[in-house]
Amino acid sequence: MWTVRERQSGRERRRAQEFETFVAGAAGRLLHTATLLTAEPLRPPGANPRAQRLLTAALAHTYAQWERLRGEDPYDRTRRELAVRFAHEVWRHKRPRGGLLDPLTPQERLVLVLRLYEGVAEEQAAALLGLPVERVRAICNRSVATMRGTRRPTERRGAPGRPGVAR
Amino acid sequence: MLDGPHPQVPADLARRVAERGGRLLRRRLFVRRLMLLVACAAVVAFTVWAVAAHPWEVPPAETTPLEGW
Repeated sequence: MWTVRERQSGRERRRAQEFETFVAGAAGRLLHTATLLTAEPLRPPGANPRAQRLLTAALAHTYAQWERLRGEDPYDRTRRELAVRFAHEVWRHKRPRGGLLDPLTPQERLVLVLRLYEGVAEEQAAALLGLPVERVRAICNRSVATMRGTRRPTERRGAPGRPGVAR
Repeated sequence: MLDGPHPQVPADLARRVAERGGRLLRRRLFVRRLMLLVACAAVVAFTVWAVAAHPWEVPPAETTPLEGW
């Protein structure tokens, strides 16, 4: 006969194990995504504190939701949390920090990373950011053109981007 | 251009995340229990008041009927 407490601790241990497996598999890629978003350098190892903070918060959320995922992909869930959190604190990420996507505005980075690095469908990205699909497509094309060097980077001082987000 | 090796994940990330996530979970549990407690207290308070005050009974008339007019 198991007591409630024993059953609970068993469940907690199983959750911790499952979660650890998930983190071991997904953290590298998620940290890469977060670092692209915050436009911090990928190397050396400690050069992306903002991305680490973002990822820790998003993963903690996934941890707390673990029992209630109901078959939803935890990676997907964490990525969504990451994007939403980034969009909420976009004003902190306006300054260039020496990363790969420095020439882009935070919103352009978010759209580019979601669409091209993570391969999220246009409709899903639009729903996540609370923007019309055409606008997501336009921002994505704009970002690609900027990164290719066929377009001047978006002016940031006079007109800061308006990152809209629907939770 | 975006692809390439992933940045190195800090070794204690999983531990930190589990700590923070656990804290989040415990806080949520606490809030839920608190709400349940408040709801129960409200039900008990209402019952006690209803038993004491009998709000479904018509209150006795407050004016005496006029007589001798």
